[in-house]
Amino acid sequence: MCFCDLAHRIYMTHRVIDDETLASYLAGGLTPEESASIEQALVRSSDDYKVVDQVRSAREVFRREGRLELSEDMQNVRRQVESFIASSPSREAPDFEVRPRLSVNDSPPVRAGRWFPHWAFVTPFLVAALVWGVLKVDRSMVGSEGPGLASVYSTSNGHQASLSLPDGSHVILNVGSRLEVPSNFGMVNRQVRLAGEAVFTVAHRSSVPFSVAAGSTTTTVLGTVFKVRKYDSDTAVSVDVREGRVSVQSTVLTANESAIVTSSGDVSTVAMDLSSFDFIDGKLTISNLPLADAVRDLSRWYDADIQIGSPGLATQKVGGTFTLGSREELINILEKALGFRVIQQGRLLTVYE
Amino acid sequence: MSKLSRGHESDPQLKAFDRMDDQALFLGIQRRDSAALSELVARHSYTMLRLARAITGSPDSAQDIVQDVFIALWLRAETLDIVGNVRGYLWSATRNQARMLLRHESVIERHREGSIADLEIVEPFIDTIEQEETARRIYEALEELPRRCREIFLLHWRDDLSVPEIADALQIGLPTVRNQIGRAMRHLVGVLRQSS
Repeated sequence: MCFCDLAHRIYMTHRVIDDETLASYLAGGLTPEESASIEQALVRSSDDYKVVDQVRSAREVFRREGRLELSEDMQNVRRQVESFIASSPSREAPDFEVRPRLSVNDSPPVRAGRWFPHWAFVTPFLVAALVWGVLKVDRSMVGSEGPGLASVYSTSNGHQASLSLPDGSHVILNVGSRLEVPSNFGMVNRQVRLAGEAVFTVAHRSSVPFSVAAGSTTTTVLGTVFKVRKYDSDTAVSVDVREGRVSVQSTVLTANESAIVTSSGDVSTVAMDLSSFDFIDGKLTISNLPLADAVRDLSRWYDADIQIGSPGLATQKVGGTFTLGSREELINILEKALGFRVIQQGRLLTVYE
Repeated sequence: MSKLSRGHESDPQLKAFDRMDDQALFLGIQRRDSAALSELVARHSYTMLRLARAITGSPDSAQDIVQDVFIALWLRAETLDIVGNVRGYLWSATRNQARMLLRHESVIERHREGSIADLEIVEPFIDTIEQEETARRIYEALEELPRRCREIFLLHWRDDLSVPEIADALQIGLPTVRNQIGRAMRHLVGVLRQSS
């Protein structure tokens, strides 16, 4: 619409190129030769050129706007990727992590184009922690026996956590539990140590068995779903198998079997308690336990210190299903559902008849 | 080639430079340089997000997918041998990851019909009046098109995905992609012609 420019008007040729061809050109559907001839024609046809120019300039706007629209998503991706990398000890230590003073990962950065070991050795603690609800996982690195330094994942009372290990295995850590993963966990070694209770879904790897040490008992598997429990207050280690086969000491367990290993090393096999895996769904099932035993689980579950005030109460049997919740909810249950009297002093609850 | 063909952005040269730089960034990632990875994320996450959204239809899944692709790149960089086309690697990884997710999801629930995403076009906010007029006109013209046609066109025209890439990503034939792009472009040209 350049009516202002007379000279231009004289040389202006209307629509040298038909719409179809122009669209093909703009859509990149022409051969290089065809495109070249269109470009020559465009020099002579300001109307056609204007369309081309408008489409191009609009494209810039759309690109800019598209980026604006996605900028939050892009930032999220960037944050996630960066925080993942930051959690790998081969990079700068993130603030929640205490770096061990002597670590294989402290080796100087590898120079360009030279060797580099497999990622499993470089980044042994690539453990993505998924934490549900208000639960949190405390991650710290500490020295452990043996040459490798371990990464320790622990949950406090009342909190659970879900972890993915670098080999693809998955762990659900119950309340008040602790899992040690050695720094060389991965390709040649899949040995972890547990204090507390956890369900392991083990990625199958026929050449490298996965083993869980708890107390003095080691449980070894190739790929399966099973649970190990050994809190400090437990006298025996218990292993429950949901899928696959597991060997405990020299005893082989199959699905729906449990083993109880006493501190003297005696293994007995029993049918698995079906509520054994309930904690995954945030449920603690207590079936007819003396109150003295039940309070140990309850105190971890609700993060409370529980004392029994009336002497006769310790042997009284209790049972029920408890969902994760606050101390106040526990008091409610003890008083309303179980008919006890509870006196609270901070985190200390004393239970009376 | 005449000057006109490149507009003001000298595309071909820019792209060659881009590729070379991506390669350098990839080498940086192999040396565990996290800044190189961040730069690659900044450069390519936009198109990858678009692609993942187009396949899965979910902005949230798209974020997960793209982030997984970059993390996998970081983890496997030493064993990967990407020569020349880092962008191509990122795109196909995104596409595969997105398809895997779809397959996984379809086990749980049958996927919605016509699964490509609603790539809404955002009403443009523009700084110059002239650009504004044109962009608004094109925005309106695109709104008149069927959704699928518009989405395919935008993936190509705005987001720079090639015809085979779109065909592959959306599991449709090359001719379909070409037709849809051609149809949208003819519509735009027609609208612009009318108003001048």
